[in-house]
Amino acid sequence: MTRDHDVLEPLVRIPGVRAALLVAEDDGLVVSEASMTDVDTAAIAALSSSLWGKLRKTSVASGHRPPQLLQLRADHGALLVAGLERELLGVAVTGDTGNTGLVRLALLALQRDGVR
Amino acid sequence: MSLVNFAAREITCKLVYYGPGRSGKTTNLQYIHDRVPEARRGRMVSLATKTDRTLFFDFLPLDLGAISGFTTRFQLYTVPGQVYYNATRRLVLQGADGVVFVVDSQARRFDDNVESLQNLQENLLDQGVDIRQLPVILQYNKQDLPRDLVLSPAELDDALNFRDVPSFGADALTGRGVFETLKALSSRVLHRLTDSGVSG
Amino acid sequence: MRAIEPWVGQPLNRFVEESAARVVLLMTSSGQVIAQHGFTRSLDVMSAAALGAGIVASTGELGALLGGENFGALVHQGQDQGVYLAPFTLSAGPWIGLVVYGAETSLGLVQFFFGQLVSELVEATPTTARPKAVLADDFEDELDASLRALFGE
Repeated sequence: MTRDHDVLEPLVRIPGVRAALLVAEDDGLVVSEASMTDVDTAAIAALSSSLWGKLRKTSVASGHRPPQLLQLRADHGALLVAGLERELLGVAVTGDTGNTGLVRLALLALQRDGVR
Repeated sequence: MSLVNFAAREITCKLVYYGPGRSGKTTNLQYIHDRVPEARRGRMVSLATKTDRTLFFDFLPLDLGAISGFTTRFQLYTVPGQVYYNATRRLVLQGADGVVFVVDSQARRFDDNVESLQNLQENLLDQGVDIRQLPVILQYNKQDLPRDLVLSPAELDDALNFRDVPSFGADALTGRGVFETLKALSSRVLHRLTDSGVSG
Repeated sequence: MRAIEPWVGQPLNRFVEESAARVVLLMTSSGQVIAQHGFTRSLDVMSAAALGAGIVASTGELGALLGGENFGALVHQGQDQGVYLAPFTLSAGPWIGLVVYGAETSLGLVQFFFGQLVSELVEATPTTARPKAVLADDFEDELDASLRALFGE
């Protein structure tokens, strides 16, 4: 696990988290990351920001406010994305054993407290 | 290297105008640009300094239409002539199918011509190209200047044209010799495609 | 979409679809166009290829001059659209990709799918050499006529 940024520390400390990223919402580029070596963080950043953008547009078009958090469950884990301040996204990828409840709390804390 | 597309029957060739600074390379392209109908040419791209000296290259794409059933396109490039721009000259020369060497016929520029010709040879060698294997045309430009200022095509042939390549006297400003030069190079480049090929 | 090399077509189409790029141009390092999507005029494609190859070549030389390694990609982010320019190597030689993208996608997506495009092109590159062109014996007459027509003579 490589760690570039203290802000991601609470996320990567949660059992089962394979990657935690700060992503630029517009560009879909990694701003900061902490991940297992086999995780393609550039791909996750690009695709999750695209997914987030579509979700936000859909939500607004449906007359709702922009989404706070996205949780995508897959066979062997989950992807969680939260909109943060300064057009950043917090992204976490968990494996089978990931505690998604704790990840949600950590992302919402980032959302509330800011990334600095 | 020319690009041949058999499926769509297209040929694209890269032709480079080389020579010392202010010998008239850009003027050649400018004349061609002005004479050719808009539908058959692209925009002339000129990367020049404020004083109109070529900084990187000039570029003019030409669409010749069908030749032997192949849609044929030429990409004309010039290089910056000034000695200190050699790095960019090397880049532009990469993959050239043929070269027009534009000579400044003024007697006082003779040494610059020799230096530039040597530079062409060196830059080609650096890319693994023997100048003897590449279609080259010499164009003796500025022949319109007063006789006492310029060397004649015969004198320049003696002094510069050791390999006996086709050469043309020219005055690129008025267009004299520009067409003949382009035609001679095009023909040699296309011949080379044919000579080195197998039936396909 | 138009491709000089037919095997480029499928990977390029996929890239255009997935990345939502507006314009894509694949060229050799000397500026010869291999394939394009989004241009309407072939002569404009050639100019874009000449400029793209020029930028990659000069940046590469600049890198070498300053003792650095070759760069991976160049990005120019404009107001409404961005340009992504990246050299890559196939067994056919060094090529360059130029991608123009807008707000409907992102640099991250372009970069990600471009990586996939390059992998697919590496896989798809044919190993057999192409035959050379043979022009008819009388091609010079046609060349002469074409050039005369071009010059209005």
